[in-house]
Amino acid sequence: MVLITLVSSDEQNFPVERELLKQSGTIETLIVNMNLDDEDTDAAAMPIPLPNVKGDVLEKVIQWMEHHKGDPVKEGDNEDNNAEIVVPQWDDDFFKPAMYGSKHLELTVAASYLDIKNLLTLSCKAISNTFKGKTGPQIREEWGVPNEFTPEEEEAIRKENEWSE
Amino acid sequence: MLSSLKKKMLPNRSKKPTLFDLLKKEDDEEKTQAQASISVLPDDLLLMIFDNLSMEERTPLGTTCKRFRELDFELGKRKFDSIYVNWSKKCHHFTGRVAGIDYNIYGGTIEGKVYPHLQATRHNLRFFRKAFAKQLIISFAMKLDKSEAELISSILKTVTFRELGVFFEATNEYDADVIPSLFKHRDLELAKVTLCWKRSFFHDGKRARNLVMKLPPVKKLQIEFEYSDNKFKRFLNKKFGLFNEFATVDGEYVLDDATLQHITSNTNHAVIVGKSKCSAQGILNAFKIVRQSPLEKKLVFFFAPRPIIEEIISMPNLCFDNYDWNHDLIDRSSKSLLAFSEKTGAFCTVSMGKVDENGKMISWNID
Repeated sequence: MVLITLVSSDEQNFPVERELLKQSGTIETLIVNMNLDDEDTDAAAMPIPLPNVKGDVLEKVIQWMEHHKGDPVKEGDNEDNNAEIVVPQWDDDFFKPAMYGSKHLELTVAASYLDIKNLLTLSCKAISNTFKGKTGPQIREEWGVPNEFTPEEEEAIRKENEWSE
Repeated sequence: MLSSLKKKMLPNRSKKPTLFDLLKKEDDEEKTQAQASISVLPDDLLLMIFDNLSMEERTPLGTTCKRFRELDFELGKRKFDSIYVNWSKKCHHFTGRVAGIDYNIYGGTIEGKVYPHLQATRHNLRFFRKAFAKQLIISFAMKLDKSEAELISSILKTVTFRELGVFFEATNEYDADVIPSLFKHRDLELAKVTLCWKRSFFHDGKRARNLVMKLPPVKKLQIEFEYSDNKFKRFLNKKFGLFNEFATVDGEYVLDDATLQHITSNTNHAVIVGKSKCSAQGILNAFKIVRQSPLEKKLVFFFAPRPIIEEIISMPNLCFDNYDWNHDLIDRSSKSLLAFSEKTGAFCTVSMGKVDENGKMISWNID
């Protein structure tokens, strides 16, 4: 089993099974560019720095990739059928402790940076699920969004929504 | 319309947070285990999140914060009752109307105020992104240049609609580019399309026929080619309305054998009001398409030059029933009817379509 070392922004080393990293478009590209797959390259001696991902987040990402090892990755533009995606129970439990917290947001940003399509899709879906059935002020409160509307603006928008309902 | 203009005055987008900001913020918050702000997510991720929601579920985004409001707007896929596109010398605007509220992008002079010309800005190009409109009504009241045609096409590129109405109120050159671009990548088999070349302007029949030939299969088609080749008549029409356009067979025409065949093959119900230059064989060929059609309801109605109709009626192998000047030919095996009736002027009306057991043309509801 070939191990490849990932180095987080806070310089923690994570030795990861080569196979797992196929899920990350960004790392896959780096592996190819660094010729880490060549037999005469000593992959163990060439760690991959990920200056945009912190150790605790990277740990979660690797945990997620381990669980999803071998999952098929949907290709192409699937923006039209995201509505049908269901977050599996395992992933829901995985996201839940961090939900509404910065960890989950960081995980989402890392999934986007590392180009791990399935993680990004599910993570976004889990966030959007928290919006369902909520009002604007409720979303604000739950997700720490400051209220920037003046009472007049709020009133105007409220009226507009009455129209569109 | 203007009351809702302020809706388009959206706030400047907040700067994309960098991951550095995100991490810094996290450091601060970790101590207290406080909630994070979703505002740290960059636009593309917020758009992905919003895109998972239905139209109704997206409604509260507008009241959450200004950035959400704008992103929701940019995500598009809005549903409108109607989208109107009006392109005249004075002004040009796109208006999306839903439940009595108008959402506009525009340029030119509106209600005395002069605005810059409509440009292909990111905002304008995304305004109707993936929008759905029950009706899309386009009115060209000036000659388009190539760049205007492209702008209109790109703004409407991803709009879907159930009904399309196009009104040519000027001699047009690039309509040939704009309108077919609305047929591309869309399934219009259940749609209704109206093409109207307004009288009182000169219209090139060949250009109109070229456009008709590009029509995809649609459920209902209505064509009005109320052209007048006489300047004085055009003036009178503009001033006083009705003028008999069908007095002579001369002049520009919208229908010939090829367009008739195309329309008959591609529509369930077509009404073509305008001069035609169909041959007897062309009309019989179109009727053959009707007879062979598996549809239970089908109707094609148009005007044909009277000598051509007389030629068909006198064909010895065809047995028309006639009373007064109405001539009916029913093909019982395929429940199809070909009917001519006299019309003042140089043209007769032709109806071809499916009939019920009693030989009556199956009537159509407008919808």
